[in-house]
Amino acid sequence: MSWRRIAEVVAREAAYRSRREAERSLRFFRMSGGSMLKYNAFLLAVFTFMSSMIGLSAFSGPEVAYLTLIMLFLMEILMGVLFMALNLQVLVSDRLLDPIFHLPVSEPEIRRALLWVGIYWGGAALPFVLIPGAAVESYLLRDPLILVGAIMGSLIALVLSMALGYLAGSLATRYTRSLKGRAVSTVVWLLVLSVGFIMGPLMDAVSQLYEGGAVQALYMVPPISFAVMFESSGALLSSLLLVLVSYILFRTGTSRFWRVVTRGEVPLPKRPAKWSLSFGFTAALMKEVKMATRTPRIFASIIMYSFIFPLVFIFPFFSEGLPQGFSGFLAPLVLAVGGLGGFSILYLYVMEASGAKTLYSLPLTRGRVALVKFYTFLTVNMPVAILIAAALAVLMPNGAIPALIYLAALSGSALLNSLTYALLLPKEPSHWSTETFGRTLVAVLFLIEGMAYFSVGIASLFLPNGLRATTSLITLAAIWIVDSILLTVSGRRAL
Amino acid sequence: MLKYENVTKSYGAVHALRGVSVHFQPSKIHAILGPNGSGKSTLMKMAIGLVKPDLGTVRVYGIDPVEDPISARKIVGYAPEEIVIYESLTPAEYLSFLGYIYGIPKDGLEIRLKTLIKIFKMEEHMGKLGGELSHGNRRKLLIMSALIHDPKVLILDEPFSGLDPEIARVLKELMRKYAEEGRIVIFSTHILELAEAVADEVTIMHLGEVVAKGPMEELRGKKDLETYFLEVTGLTSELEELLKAL
Repeated sequence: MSWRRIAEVVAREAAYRSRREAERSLRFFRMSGGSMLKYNAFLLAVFTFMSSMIGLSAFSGPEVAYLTLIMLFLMEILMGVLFMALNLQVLVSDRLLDPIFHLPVSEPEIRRALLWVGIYWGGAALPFVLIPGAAVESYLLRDPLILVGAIMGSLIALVLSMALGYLAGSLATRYTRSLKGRAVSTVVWLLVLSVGFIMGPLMDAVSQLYEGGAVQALYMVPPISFAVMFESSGALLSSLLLVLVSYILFRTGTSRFWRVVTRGEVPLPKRPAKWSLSFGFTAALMKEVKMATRTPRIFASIIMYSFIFPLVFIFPFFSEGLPQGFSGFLAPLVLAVGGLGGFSILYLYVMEASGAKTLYSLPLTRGRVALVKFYTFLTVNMPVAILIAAALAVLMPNGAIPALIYLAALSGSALLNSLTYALLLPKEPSHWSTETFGRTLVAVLFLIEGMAYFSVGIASLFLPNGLRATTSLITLAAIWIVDSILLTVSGRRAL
Repeated sequence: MLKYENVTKSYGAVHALRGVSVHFQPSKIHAILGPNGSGKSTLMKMAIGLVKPDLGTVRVYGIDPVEDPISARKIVGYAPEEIVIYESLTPAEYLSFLGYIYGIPKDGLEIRLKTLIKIFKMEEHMGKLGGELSHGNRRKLLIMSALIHDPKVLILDEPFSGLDPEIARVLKELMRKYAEEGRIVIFSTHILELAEAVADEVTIMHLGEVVAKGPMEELRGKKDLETYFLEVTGLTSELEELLKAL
C-alpha cells in the first residue's frame, strides 16, 4: 500500500464516519473523494481572489508591495498552522491511524501519508495565499524576482506551518485526567486558534520598522529576503536561517506527533477514581461541560470567539473611545461581536464525536438537543460575557443599551446556530464532527451570518445617529423570532 | 406486543429484510438467530425507529416507531451490537445523563442505578473514563444503559459478546426475570447453545427472511438446534462443499 493510498483511506474514513447518513440535500458541502477536491478548489478560489486583490496594492509603490507580501506570507503560515493543527488532532483524537498500524506498512510510508492527509484537507490551497498576490505585484512592478521569492517563501511557509501544526496537533490527546495538562493544552489551542488575530500586531511591528526609516530591514524579512538574497548577504543569511529553523521545527514536530499517535492506550489511574451521581438537568449540563473541558481543543474553540472577538473589536475602544462622530456605531459593532460569538456553539456538537451514535436510541427531539447545547454554551460563556457587558455599560458613554444588545446577540445567535445545527444533524446514528455538516457549509454559514451583521453596520451609515441602535434592536428581534420558529420545528422532530 | 408486518428494507441493492412478518409476545425470551447479514440488527433497530422500513409496518405496543420514535424509545431498552460509548465521560456521568433524558425521578434513579451497578459489578469502574474501560465493561455499560428506565421491551443485539461467564449468567437471570414480569425480551446471538439455554422462542433469519420461528421445545423436538439451523438456512450443503474445496 503506497503512502498516498493510506492518506486517501484515512482522509476518506474521517469524512465517511460523519457523512454516511447525512442529509442528501447537503451532499455538495460534504467531503468525499470528489468533494475534497471541491474543498481545496473552494479555498483556492477564495485565497486567489483575496491575494490578487491585496496584490493590487503594488500600485502604491514597491515599499507598500513589500509590506503586503510580508503580510501574505504571515497569513499563509498562520492559516497553515491552523489547518494542520486542526486536521492532525482529528487523526489523534479519532485514532484514525490505528488500523493502519496493524498492516505491514513501513513507518516512513505512514509518515509520508500523514503529510499528504494535510494536503487533502486544504493544504494544497495554502500557497495560493501568497503566490497570486506576488504574481500581480511582480507584473505591476515589472520585477520577476518578486514572484520567484514568493514561490520559495510560500514553500518554506508551508513547511513551517506544517511543523508548527504538528507540534500543536501532538497536544490533541483524546482526554486526560490531569487538570494541569488540560489547562496547558487549552491555552496552547487558544493561541493556535487565535493566530489570525496576531496578524495585526505583527504587521504593526513591520510597518514601524519601515516608517522608522529601516527600509533595508525589510529585505531581511521573508519572502522579500528570498527575492533579494543574491543581492544582499543579510537577506541570504536570513533566508538560510529561516530554512534551517523550519527544517529543525519540522523534524521536532513530526517526531513528537509520531510519538503521540503511536502511544497506544491511555494509562489507567493507579487508584479507583471517585464518582458520584448527579440528577435532573444538572446531569445533562455536567455531561456537556465535562466533555468540553476534557477535550482542550474543543473547549478552546468554544470559548475563543467569546474572548477573542471582544478583545480585538471592543477592548481598544475602552481606552481610546470611539472616533468622533461614530458613537452610534457601538450598537452594530457589539451586535456583530456578540452574534459571531454564538457561532462557536458548533463545537458542542463536534465534541460528541462517535458518542453521538448513542443519542439516537434515546427519546430526544432535535429541539431538546439544541436547548441542552444552548444552556451549556451559556454556562461556559456567560460569566465572561457578563463582565464584558458590564465593562461596556460602565466604560462607554451610553453603553447600557449596547451592553444588553451584546448579551442578547450572543445568546440569540448561539440558540440560532444550535437549532440550525440540530436540524441539519444526520437522520441515522452517526459520528458528529465538522464533516457532519461539511466544512464548506460551516464556512458558508459563518460568512452569511458575518455578512448579515456587517450589512447592519453598513445600513447604519445611512441612518441618523438615533436610529442606529434601533436597527440593531430590530435585527436582534429578528434573530429571536427565527429562534422561536426553529425551536417549534425542531421540537417536533426526533433525533 | 411487538409486531412486524410485511416489512421490507433495502440498502441500495442489498435487501436487508424481505417482507418479514413476525410477532414477539410478552413474557417470553426471544432469540433471533441468523448468519451475518441476515437482517437481525435491522429488524431490532426498527423497533425504536433507528431504521425505517421501505414497506410494511412496525408496532411496539401500538406505537409506530416511524411516526413516533420518542414514545417508542421511552418503552424500549436497546443495546446495539457495536459498542459505542463516550470515551471522555465516566459511566457515572453517562448514566446520570440518561436518567435526565428518560425523566427518571432522583430517588428512583439513585436506587435503580446503585442496584444495576451492584448486579453488573461495576463499582470499581464507575469513576473511570469510558476510554479506560475494558471491552467487557463497556458492554456492561451498554446493557445498563438499556435497563436504566425499566423498559417494557428489552432488545439486546449480541449482548453476551465479551462478557465473562459470571456476568453472562447474571444477564441470563435478569432476562428471565424481565420475561416473568410480563415484558418482551429479545436478543440476537451467533451462539446456538446460548439460544438453547436462554430462549423460550427462536426466530431464525436468513437473507432477510424469517425461515423458521417457534417455541424452543418444538424446534428441539425435531433435532438439535445446530443441525436444524444449518438445514433451514441452507448452510449444510454449502458448508460441505466448501470444506471439500478447502
